[in-house]
Amino acid sequence: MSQCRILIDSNAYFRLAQSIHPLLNVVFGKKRHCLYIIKELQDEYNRSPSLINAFSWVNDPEYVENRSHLLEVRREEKPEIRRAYDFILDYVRNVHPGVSKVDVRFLAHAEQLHIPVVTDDEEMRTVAGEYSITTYKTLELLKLMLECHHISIEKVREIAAYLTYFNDMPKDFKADYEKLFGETPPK
Amino acid sequence: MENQLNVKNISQKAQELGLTQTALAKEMQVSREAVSKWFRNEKYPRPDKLLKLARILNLSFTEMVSKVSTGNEPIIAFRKKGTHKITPDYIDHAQDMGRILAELVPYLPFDELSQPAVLKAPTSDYAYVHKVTERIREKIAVQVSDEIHFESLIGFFNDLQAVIIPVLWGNKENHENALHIYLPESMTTWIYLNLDCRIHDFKFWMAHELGHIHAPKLQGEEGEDFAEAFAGALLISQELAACEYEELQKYSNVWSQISHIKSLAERLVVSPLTVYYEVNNYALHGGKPKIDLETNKEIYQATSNFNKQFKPVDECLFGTKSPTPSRYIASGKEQFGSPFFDILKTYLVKHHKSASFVQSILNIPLLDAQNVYEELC
Repeated sequence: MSQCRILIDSNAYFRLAQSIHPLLNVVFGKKRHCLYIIKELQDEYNRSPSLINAFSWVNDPEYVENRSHLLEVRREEKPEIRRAYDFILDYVRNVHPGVSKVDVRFLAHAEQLHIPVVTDDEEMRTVAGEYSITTYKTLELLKLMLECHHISIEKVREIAAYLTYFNDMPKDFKADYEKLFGETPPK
Repeated sequence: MENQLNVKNISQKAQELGLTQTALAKEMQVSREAVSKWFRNEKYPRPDKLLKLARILNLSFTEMVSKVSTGNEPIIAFRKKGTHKITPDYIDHAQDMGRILAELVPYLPFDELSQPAVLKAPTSDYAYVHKVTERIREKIAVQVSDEIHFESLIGFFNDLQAVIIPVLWGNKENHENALHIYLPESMTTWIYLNLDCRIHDFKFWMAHELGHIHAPKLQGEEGEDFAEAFAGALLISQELAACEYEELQKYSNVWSQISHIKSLAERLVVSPLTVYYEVNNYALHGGKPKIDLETNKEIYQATSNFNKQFKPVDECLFGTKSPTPSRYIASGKEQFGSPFFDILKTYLVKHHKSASFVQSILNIPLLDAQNVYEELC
């Protein structure tokens, strides 16, 4: 039975991968959801001393191993992803210059493969909307995982508390949390 | 650049595939009229439709879309260093940054009605450049043998309405310590200055950028040559170069000459290489023999050792290479008198932009951008 693949962008990966491990390549729920990243996430991490500093665990063997299960792309899909990348990149350059090239790569994969992307970035979500790409916020992903009994509400609270403690809350975090989980986020 | 459909390519491809405009409209789930307008270049398709059309016709972006120059593309200037090549990717990226900066223009606190004066007919001629820099020295009452202080240079940037953007890009080589972007439409100049730079080079970088601002019409190689000559002349006056040339003649060996150059460089807070080059530019201009301190690369070796004794700019400013976001942002206004972070803040709040905008405009990693964003918003 095939999987319901979901792409998770760099930021959301760094927010969740330590709290929910293994995060990637684990099937959950009746629809067989499964999270993936693209290889450019590692390039982005390797280029950034501050990311390395803040998320030093990323290169620990268990996380490296988990990330080694990359999103599978068939040979014939590659040129189409490249084509989507070129078009989305030009659109982004002209209209949403804040969206990075790595974000465009995520969107190009999602567009061609018809899979949703987890991202909290407002501009990236707007661009995704232009190309009819489904997006989930991090909290929406947690809700999906909760409904699929992949994680517990305690885990959701633990992550929310962690994000609050490190002042790394996505936009509309409090309102979204209350709407999705019916309670105020823990402090 | 403005996008336009390459009607010739798409018509030809549609014909090859036997697709009429009606068939295309049906396949694309749009009206026949919409397709007709695309083919007459009266309308440009929505982003998703454009991609869909490219897929149906099997055209790449460059085959499908023509870039029409509007004459308003950001103009980028890089300081040349040796034979280092600047890649097209780097220029593309800098132009992208220019497009992002254009978003901030309405928030600049500058006079909308007038532009600061620039040089009439700038050239890299030695006598001309020194005449220009002599006038600048007079303006700020700096004697021919005295140091041009950082504060004076910063004052010039602000007088000329150039926006300094201090950045922490890590230790860079070649052209990457400063990026000069001129936006023709708004006639605004933006200068990224990497603070992770050797302090004795930093002043030269600043003076070089100031040269560009004085001569915005000179572009490419011509612009770089002028900015380079301007920086050298501003930091080492002709009179001082003449005096030093005579002094250096008195020494019997290379290392004594280098030692003398190093003392002057330290006093003026410039690199020994700047002094060396300027003394020899003076000699060349006057038809005098060159002072040769590079037969065995002595001056380069000495400059490298000289630089090791001093901290980079960021450490001088913040006492650390990793300042807190608040200290970093404050330095924009306090040390550089720049309105950049104020206008960035206004823009971010007004347009509900996220940290990724900060990431793109400052060309920094997302995590650093998030820290700056949180401090600003």
